[in-house]
Amino acid sequence: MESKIVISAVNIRKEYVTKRHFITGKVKEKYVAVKLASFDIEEGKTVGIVGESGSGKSTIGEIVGGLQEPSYGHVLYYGKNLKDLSDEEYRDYRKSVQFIFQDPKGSMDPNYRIIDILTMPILTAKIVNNKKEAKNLAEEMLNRVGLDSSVKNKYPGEISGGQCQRAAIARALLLNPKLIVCDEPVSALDISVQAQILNLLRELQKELNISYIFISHDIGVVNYMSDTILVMQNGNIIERGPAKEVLLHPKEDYTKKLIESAFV
Amino acid sequence: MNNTVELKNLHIKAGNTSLVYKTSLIVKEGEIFGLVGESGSGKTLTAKAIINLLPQGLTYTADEIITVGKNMLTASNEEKRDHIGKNVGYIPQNTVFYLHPLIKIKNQIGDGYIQHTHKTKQEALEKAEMLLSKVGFKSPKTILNYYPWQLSGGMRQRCNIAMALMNDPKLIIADEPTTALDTTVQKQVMELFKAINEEMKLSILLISHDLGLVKRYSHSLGVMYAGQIVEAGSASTVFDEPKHPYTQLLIKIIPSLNIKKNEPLTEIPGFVQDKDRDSQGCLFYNRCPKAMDICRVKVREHMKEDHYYRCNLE
Repeated sequence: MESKIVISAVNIRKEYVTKRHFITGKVKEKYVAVKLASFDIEEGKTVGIVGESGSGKSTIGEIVGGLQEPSYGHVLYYGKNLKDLSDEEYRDYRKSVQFIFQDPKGSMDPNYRIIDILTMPILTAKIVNNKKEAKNLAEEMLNRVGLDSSVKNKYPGEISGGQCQRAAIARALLLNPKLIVCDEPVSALDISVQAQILNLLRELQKELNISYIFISHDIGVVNYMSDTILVMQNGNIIERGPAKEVLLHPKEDYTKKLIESAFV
Repeated sequence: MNNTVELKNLHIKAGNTSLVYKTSLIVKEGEIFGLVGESGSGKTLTAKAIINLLPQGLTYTADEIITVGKNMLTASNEEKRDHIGKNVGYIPQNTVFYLHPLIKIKNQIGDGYIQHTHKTKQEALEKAEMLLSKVGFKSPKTILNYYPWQLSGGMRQRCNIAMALMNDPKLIIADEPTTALDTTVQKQVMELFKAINEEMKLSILLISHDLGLVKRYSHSLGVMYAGQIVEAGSASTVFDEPKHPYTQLLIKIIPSLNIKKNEPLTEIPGFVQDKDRDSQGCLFYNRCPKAMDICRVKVREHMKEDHYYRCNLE
């Protein structure tokens, strides 16, 4: 059976206005973050995006996840344009696409306990009926990602970066996502913790058949995680292909440079 | 060959908690010494103790600290400042905030030079121009007239390197010099360090969390864990025959480009302990796959030729 395509991006372009005329508001200058990008994400597969800062990696992730709208082009969710989705379908889409960010502590409200941070989204999305059920589910998920239950009553500032990133993964998983956009999930972590998180993400993928968009500047990590790799430079996808192919036989000079400067 | 830095049994404390315990290191003349470790392992504190820059509130004791031929333990504060200012170039961790954003490069790059050599500003600018072209700027004059925020991260880092070279130091301490930079820029900056080291016979103390980077560029290295150097030696010995379990795991843990994708990565369970760093036992005990009962109370220090490690295993 052919695997289904969860999300495809079709001819996406993203521009930011940097200067307007001070009276008429006419656009005088704009910055193009993503020039033209199209790609598909299959169920249970990982698409890795590498490139240096400012190349538009994160912008692509945010557009696919619905945090930003593309200036041109569109995003298809199971073959349907995001703009044509009914309210109910759109809610389902927002549940199915989750994020994990670079700075785990920065992505959590420091004034809430971990358990509150985890239960809030599932209550809002009406996956459970009451707070008690939500709590049970959240605790189960915390154990699933390898945290013991003493963590649940702590604040994000009180636990280590690695533990916090695990909690962030638990938060994303609670909504039964089809796709998780991982935006530099390990670059703020220590090397010894990095391996723990990468292994956890891969285990979960095998078990729950989730797709990932894995964004990182570290080509070694992207290679380990991904089935397909997109190499980005200045808003363009300059090279793409199966991970092995891109790494062993890079075609573009820039890709060669990236591989060479990764010290492994 | 002389040693640029000699450090014996450094012990840094904040109140009653030990942060760095029993750390010794030797940087030889003209070599790049890599100090690797995870965050919070005391790399930066060790480096700062060498140049007398420890933050307030921390106390330290040591058997010996010799920085570029001067004993830091007996010198007065004035002597220390003078000696270190002339002989050591320091490139701190957070380079984005190191240069003053509201002062042009030309007005801040020569400050240390004028202070320590009593030259005029004109002479300082000439030297700065020469060094800026050395670190790879094609038109150093224009760079001098820029504000730091007009430069990119890599350019700013090169300005910092030029600034550290102003006083013709014998030692450069580079604290995570490439952490905030892109991989391609990182390579440029590291090649620059290598060129400086070879050309000017400078010693460089390179602090980094990136084992691959240290492997490629340093001659010898020390691996720090929880405030102690657990293994040290020449880069080739440590990488080819690592003795300490922590080093062995560290080398295995990095996803290399020819990794087999079906196998999970080796992990180090748990996380770095931050209490009881002055215990007599092995601090890696809780996470070590080869831990024995004796490791909890006692640890042996080995010294074979230049290869140092602290572990109960042979």
